[in-house]
Amino acid sequence: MKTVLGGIFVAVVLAVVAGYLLPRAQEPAHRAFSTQSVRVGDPGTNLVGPTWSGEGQVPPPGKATATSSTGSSHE
Amino acid sequence: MIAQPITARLLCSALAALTLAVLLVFATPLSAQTSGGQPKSPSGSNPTASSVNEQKLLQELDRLSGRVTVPNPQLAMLEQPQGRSYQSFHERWLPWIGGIAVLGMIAILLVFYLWRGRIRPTPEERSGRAVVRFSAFERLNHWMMATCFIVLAVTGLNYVYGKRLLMPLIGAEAFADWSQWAKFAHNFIAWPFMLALLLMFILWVKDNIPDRYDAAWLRAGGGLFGGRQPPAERFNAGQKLLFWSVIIGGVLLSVSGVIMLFPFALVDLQGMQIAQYVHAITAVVLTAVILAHIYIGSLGMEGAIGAMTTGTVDQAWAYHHHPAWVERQRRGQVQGPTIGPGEVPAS
Repeated sequence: MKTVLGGIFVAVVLAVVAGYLLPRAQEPAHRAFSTQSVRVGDPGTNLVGPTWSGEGQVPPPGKATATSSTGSSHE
Repeated sequence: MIAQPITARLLCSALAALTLAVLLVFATPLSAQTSGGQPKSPSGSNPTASSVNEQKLLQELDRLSGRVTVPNPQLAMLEQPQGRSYQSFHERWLPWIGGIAVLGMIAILLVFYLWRGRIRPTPEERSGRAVVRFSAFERLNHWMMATCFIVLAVTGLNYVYGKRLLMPLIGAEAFADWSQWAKFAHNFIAWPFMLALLLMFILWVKDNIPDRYDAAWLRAGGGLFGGRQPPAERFNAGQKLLFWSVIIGGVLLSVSGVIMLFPFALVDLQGMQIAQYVHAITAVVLTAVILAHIYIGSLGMEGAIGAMTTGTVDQAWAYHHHPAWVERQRRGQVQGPTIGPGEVPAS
């Protein structure tokens, strides 16, 4: 039983370490795609819209919206 | 009396001439522009009749793209019809593929359990003495992978089924919070999964190479459908199939997962879509395979889980099912888990 708990513990510890390191290796889109003349708004956490359909996204209150067309999707 | 008809004739002639002039003025450019529905040059030919249009470009190039100066190069893509195929796969086909794979496997296992019941060791497979089957490190790595896989499977299935099954139950707000944390868990626990996969390969690859016992084991169905379980080396053919399924499936999941963790850093838009096809299909198939493994390792076979919790199995059971491995162990040729202090050697 110790190895079962040990496996769970090691998995959680490594996941926490990954959770610390991974965001430092990634760059959010609203920062990566901004330029000196174009500011892309932080879309917040709900990226799929209020109906979870991907249509009719509503930006969170107080957040800036995209000031260019760089937020469009081609999928 | 004579002047009136002359005046009337003059007026009629003037009106007819004016009408003809008006018709000539408006009718000539119209006929020049719309003859045959195609624009024509003064020579009568259509200069754009053979020019490349959008539909022809799409047929030739498969997609249309241009050039942009903004930092996101993906915006250069103008038309990519494969996007509709991907959306159709993700929203229509994938839920069905996953549902059939997972629920189908559960149904098969249920029918198998009702028909075969729990597989129990025969009296001759019980000696009361134990031999070491898995070392502590092997068991630790196995349970680390098991933990990761369960978390990854649950949070991964949420991507496909959450909005369909869970959101109607708990509401959009709670589902948004849960999905956000599920995404974090999925992305973070993937790394210990990849480490465990690598360690599992290093630890067990030498014992999972096909050998002379495998064909007979497969012909007998592993004894699962009645009769004795054929002998095997350390791992039988069924365990080897599971091992290679996990290794190959795990590598596919890892590579496609890393591609998705760093969008567009390694591949383009089409590559991202292919990565998601591979990731999703591999995940649901491997989930079905692991469900079978969980069943046979717990409910389906009495005492099987003990090998991975305590690390030991009954000596007589080991000799019946893995005689070549026990013999090698007895001769001291086994590398890895061997009989330790306090354990009874297989004889």
